[in-house]
Amino acid sequence: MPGYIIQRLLQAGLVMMAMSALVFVGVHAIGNPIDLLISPDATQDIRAATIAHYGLDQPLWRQYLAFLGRLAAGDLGRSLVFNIPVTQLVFSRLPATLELAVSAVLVGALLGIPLGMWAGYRPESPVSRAIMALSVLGFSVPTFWVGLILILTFAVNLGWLPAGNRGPTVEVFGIGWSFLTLEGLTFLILPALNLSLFKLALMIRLARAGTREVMLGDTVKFARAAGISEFDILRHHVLRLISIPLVTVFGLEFGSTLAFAVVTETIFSWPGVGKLIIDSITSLDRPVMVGYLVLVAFLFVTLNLVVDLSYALLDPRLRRGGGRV
Amino acid sequence: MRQFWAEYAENRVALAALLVVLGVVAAALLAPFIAPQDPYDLAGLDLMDARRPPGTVGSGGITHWLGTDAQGRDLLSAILFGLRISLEMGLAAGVVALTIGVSLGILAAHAGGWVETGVMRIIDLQLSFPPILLALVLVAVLGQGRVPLVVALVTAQYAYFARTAYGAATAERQKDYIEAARATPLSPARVVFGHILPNCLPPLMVVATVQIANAIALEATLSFLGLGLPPTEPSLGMLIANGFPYMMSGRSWISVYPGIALIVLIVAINLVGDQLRDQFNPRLRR
Amino acid sequence: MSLLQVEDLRTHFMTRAGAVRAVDGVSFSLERGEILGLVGESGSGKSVTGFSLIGLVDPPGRVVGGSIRFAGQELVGMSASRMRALRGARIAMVFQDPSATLNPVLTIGQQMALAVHAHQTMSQAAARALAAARLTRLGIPDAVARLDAYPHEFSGGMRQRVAIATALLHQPDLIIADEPTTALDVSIQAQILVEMRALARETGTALIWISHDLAAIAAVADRIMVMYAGRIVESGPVMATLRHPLHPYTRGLLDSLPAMAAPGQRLNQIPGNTPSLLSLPPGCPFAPRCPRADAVCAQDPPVVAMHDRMARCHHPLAA
Repeated sequence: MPGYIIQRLLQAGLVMMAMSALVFVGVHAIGNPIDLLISPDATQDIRAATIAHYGLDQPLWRQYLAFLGRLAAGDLGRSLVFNIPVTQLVFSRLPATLELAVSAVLVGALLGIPLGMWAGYRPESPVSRAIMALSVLGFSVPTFWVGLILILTFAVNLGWLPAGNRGPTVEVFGIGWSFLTLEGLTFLILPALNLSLFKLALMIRLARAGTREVMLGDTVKFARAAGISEFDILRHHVLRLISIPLVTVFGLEFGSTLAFAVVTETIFSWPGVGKLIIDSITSLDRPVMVGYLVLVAFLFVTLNLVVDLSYALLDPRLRRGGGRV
Repeated sequence: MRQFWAEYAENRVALAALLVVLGVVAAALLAPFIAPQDPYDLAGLDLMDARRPPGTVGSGGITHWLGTDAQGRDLLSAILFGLRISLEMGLAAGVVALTIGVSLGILAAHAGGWVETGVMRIIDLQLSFPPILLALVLVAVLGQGRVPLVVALVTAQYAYFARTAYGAATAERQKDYIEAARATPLSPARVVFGHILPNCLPPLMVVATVQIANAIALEATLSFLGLGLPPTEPSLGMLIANGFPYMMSGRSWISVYPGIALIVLIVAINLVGDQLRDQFNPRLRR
Repeated sequence: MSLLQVEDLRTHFMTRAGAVRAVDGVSFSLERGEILGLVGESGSGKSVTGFSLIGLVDPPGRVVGGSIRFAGQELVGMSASRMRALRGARIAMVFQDPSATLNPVLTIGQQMALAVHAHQTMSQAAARALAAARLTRLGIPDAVARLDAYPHEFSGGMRQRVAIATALLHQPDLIIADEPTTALDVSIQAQILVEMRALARETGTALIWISHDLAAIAAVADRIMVMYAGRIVESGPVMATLRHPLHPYTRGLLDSLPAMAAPGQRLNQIPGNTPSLLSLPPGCPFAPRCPRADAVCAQDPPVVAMHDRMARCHHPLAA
């Protein structure tokens, strides 16, 4: 097991290096990197100073090393629009996005897994067919459309919930969280629901496929032959067996949740990192774009790592380095 | 083949979905002929017609069955042409992504060694990256327009094809009949095209259907965010985005109708893909 | 009264192509502590018979007729909850591949505990003690520690012993074993055969051993039943039946054993293929492949019974 962990850590490190190189090369290949750091209409003096400061007249490999150095120090440049360090900007928006993403994933899992298991357990029942039909919708309908409909129904027509923005926050550990107030929750419900639908559909389908396959297998047959109740079979045997593929998707999907947050945040004017990136693309705030990319890459690598490691926890065959015959 | 279609037709919903898809494709193809108004003809637009509810008769004498949008465009026509664009983008991206992806996948499966590992690692990495982010970044960097959009869509999607083709090719490669074919003087190309490729087709068809739907959805999302095609050629996403500000004031049709058209198309394609997947999956067949 | 009395059992599979009559009129009885060998080729219906007895026939299959009387209770048509109370407690089953039947992500102890709690309420410690006792009885050393091991840490033979130990948890009256040794190494096969036979004798458990392997059946069973195309074509005491088979199919099976051919001689084969259960000829299903068949075989063959032996044939071999 330690070998497995180290192997995975090394791989993660390699990937991070590769991604940073990609971002760096991408930035240099696409445009003049000077545009990444200063506004296009800066004066010649500022240009010259920036070039000297960032060593943009140096050979490429030197620049790359400097880039890595800055990354390690957490310096991602300054936002052209807000004129504050990118890291500071991104981190100030991160809690909002995290709140949204975590809520969405929770809803997706807590609802999706039981629904999916039922659909896999009784695939022919009308309830299952209905669940599957809805999951197709959740899967294929673009997030922004669902958001629109949610706003139309709940905010405009019914007037139950607010149509956008984040609610009041409560400070915990120096960070503001809005789900801790009731009013804050009302602002969180629609966007979280919007974001979770794709996940929910995915979970349902996965749980269903996994459950169906397991139910047809010998483990379930043997358990039934032993007289174990259907509920216990589902709870102990099936759930544990399908949890491996589910956790993988869970972990990877968290990353994609963060990505889709971009759309949800735009529609609901939720002040998170996603809205930040859209705004920065439209306003050509390149440092923020680069910073966001690096951050996202880092997040992905970490996520993949966590998922890989939890594999070992869930699948005992990986733990002791394989079985003995 | 006949048994395939007979089995397919058993699922009423999938059958209906297929008919819907065919209908939409037909409507999109015939759009220039059946649309009451040409939404791209800026000269033909009258701002006086803007934001009219469904059923109004416009200044050009045409009945706007679905109302008009903020520029005075007949929504029905705009939707028809928007569907055209959606299908165009989706198919273009799908076909290119398929070609690139399948070639890569089969190449990796065939080449073996470090080529195989290298290529598949990249594919895996890309698969774990959400397509929307990839597309966002590419569009931001490459600018707006048809080509950058297709490039973005293809980059976001080729990995799925590559993975599927790789998996299928690897499984086939290990089967005995390929060993036998290799033992004959058949060139590797013949082996690939004659044997491996046909057996990769079923899973590829499933992936292709789903990916086309995804491409359409992705293009719509990008357009909605303002990163798609220019505003003079509104795709469905842009139409929806244009109507968004009017939703609060009760003029929801500007967003809702294009939205419905989009959803119907995507869901129908996905349902067809679902049915294909179920039919091609040997383990679920009883 | 016999422990198990099966009368005209019929289990059909409703497929798109028609009804597959996997078990087509099977009747037999089983006494307490008796070991019955059920032999046949793939598709003969032997496994489906086993599943029908324990009520685990997968859809689209269903028991469509007949009666199964177990310890006085009628199993056909019994409610699901009453059936579940019997399964594992009074009737148990062991399957072919223990690496598929044991859940790879749960420990042996966890899985056996689930089987214990299915029928008895007791503390975790008591359940573990019971499981450990059974494992020890099956010859697994250091049973208490092994409870916390995972299936992949056991060898194939050990895993099957764990499965058998699970079947024995509640001391059932009947164990149905479906090809229990087929997936194991030959040397382990012999061990488990001998052990199971001794175990059955010792505990007085009746055993139905389903296999395609005549040699295995000969080693373990008291009585043998030969199945073909969903019907029993011959039954009787194992030694007598194998030495002097009545039915031409049994004869054919025996002759086709490699051991029966002299060195250098071509292996004997029953000509033809196993029939498709969708298109069985009228009368005797074996007729197309039988060297003794003639026109009268187009009618359902009669049951020829002698003492404790029986054959379903128009032209049985001399006893």
